[in-house]
Amino acid sequence: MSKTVQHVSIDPITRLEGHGRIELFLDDDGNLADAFFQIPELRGFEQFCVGRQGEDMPQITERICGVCPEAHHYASTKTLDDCYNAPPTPRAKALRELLYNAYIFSDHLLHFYYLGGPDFLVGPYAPPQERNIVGVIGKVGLELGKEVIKHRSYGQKIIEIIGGRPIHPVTGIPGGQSKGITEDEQNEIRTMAASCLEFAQATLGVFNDVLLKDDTYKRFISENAHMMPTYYMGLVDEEGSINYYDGDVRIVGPDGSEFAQVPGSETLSLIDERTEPWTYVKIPYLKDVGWKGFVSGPDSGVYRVGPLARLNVCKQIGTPLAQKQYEAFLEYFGGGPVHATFAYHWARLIEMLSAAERVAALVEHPDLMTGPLRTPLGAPSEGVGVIEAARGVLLHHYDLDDRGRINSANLIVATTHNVAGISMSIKDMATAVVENGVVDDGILNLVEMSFRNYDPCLACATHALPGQMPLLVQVHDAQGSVCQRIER
Amino acid sequence: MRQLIIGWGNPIAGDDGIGPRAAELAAERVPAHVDVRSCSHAGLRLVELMRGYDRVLIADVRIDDGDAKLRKEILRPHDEEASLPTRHDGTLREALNAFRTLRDPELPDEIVLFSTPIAAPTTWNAALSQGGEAAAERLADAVIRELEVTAVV
Repeated sequence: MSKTVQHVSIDPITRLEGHGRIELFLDDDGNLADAFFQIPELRGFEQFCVGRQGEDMPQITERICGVCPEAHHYASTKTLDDCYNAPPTPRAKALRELLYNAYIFSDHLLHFYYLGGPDFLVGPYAPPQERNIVGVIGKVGLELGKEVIKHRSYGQKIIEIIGGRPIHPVTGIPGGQSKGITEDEQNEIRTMAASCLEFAQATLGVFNDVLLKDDTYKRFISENAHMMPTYYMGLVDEEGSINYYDGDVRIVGPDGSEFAQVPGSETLSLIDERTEPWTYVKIPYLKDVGWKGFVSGPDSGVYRVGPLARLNVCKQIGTPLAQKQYEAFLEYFGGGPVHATFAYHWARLIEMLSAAERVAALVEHPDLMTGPLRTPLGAPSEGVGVIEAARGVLLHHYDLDDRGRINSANLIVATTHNVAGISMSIKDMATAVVENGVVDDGILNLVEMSFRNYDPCLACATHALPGQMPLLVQVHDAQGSVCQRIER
Repeated sequence: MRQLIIGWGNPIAGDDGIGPRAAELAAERVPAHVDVRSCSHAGLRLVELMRGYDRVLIADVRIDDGDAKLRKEILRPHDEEASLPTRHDGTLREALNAFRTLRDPELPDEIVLFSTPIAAPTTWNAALSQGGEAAAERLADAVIRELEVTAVV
């Protein structure tokens, strides 16, 4: 006998940029029948770019997103480097990497204290009005809260010094940077970097003292329901260390063996994209493995990106303090790759520390203060730029005409890479917690928590217009009528 | 008194870019000691931009609510829970309340927000509509008048 299906809609998801919707379908018994992660907006950004001057793209693309303009700015700049066959000078590369690691530090800090952390620091069942940064301050104390603000501002200040503006950097240009920094600015960054390094370590202390002692979190990183053995993709340098700004794209399988390692410009040869009728986002998968649906395992081409993926693809972190934390992370899980989706939070903080270490090292880089800022440009052509946004691999691909105008553009952003994984995580969580038709606010937050592991940016994924994020939940009965409505 | 003008909105989202355009227009008429910036971010990043200023004037849009007038709202972040009738509210309210909870001394004493109604943007567009350009000019005038009232210009 076929079962009728109830319909629960979480629309739109809170505390994320852009709009999204989670659709849960319940059967007659009130248990989960199916789940979908929907992106309802139309894309169209690439078409908007056609005909524009290539050198305008670093400023245009960073406006897509309310979260990571730095990532788009430098993905775009790197793409133009490739289009003009103009690799950045050593000085420009040092400047870019310094800014970029400050961005990774700052963005991960934001996620832990403001976005994903409240779920555990305050508690998944806490009232929504407390499950936010104000609740976190209540939990960790006013003084640590002030340190959060201070170090967010340090990260932003470093970006402003190098990027020319506090939001939306403007200094990345094809082949280099439009300006350097003064010795006074170098000293200022040096002081802030030392403080950021201390704060990153203190934040891991909070993680160890609070989250790793929290029964809910410990359960979530150990339960089979939240394990997802997929492929993983991330950038690594020539030694196999994590590199946020540059490197080869490395992919490992669910057993940790290497599936591929290619220069960033060849990434597109590894993946294909499929469309589904219920979402406007294309779903990428590994071409040589193939699409087998929303399933994990070695036979499914589903792969994931972001902090957990980066820790799974790297051979080492590349900085001493974060390396020790990485080793403790692997020891906790009995070795890698780690498939626990809720370990994204932990991986993010290890990366925050590694980024702080890199900022402290890069400010002393011998190329930072001297040498040319820009390489002469070649003739415009086609190019690819790959970078690690805080939430995963970001790829820009442009084809320029002989006057440097955009013939075509394609952007594959981190949240797009993760769409399949996100959908599967939502379904796993909903299957575990929705029972007998009970869908209350706490359960809905658990479903959202599975989503927030990925720190997704829907504005990027859809190239949609940023807007407000109130939460509307509708439960439909088998006849399609709304039988429950929750709004916050 | 340290004052900042923020043009709030996305300049590649059609009339959502009215705020940044108003800031551009205002920048040509304000004295050097008044800073002018544009911002596409909501929430935390916007509040971070305001820190260190005594007073912040924001040029913004709101989704058309049947009232064609330019609207002026005043917020005193140290004293009250924030509530902004703007298209970009959302996380800004939460961010302001967080900074207030932290008793952040860098928070401005006053935020003056001007908003003009627009239709919800649905496409990417780097240009303002004809009405949008006029609205940006009215917003810039309002911001400049506000500075004059406080005898800063």
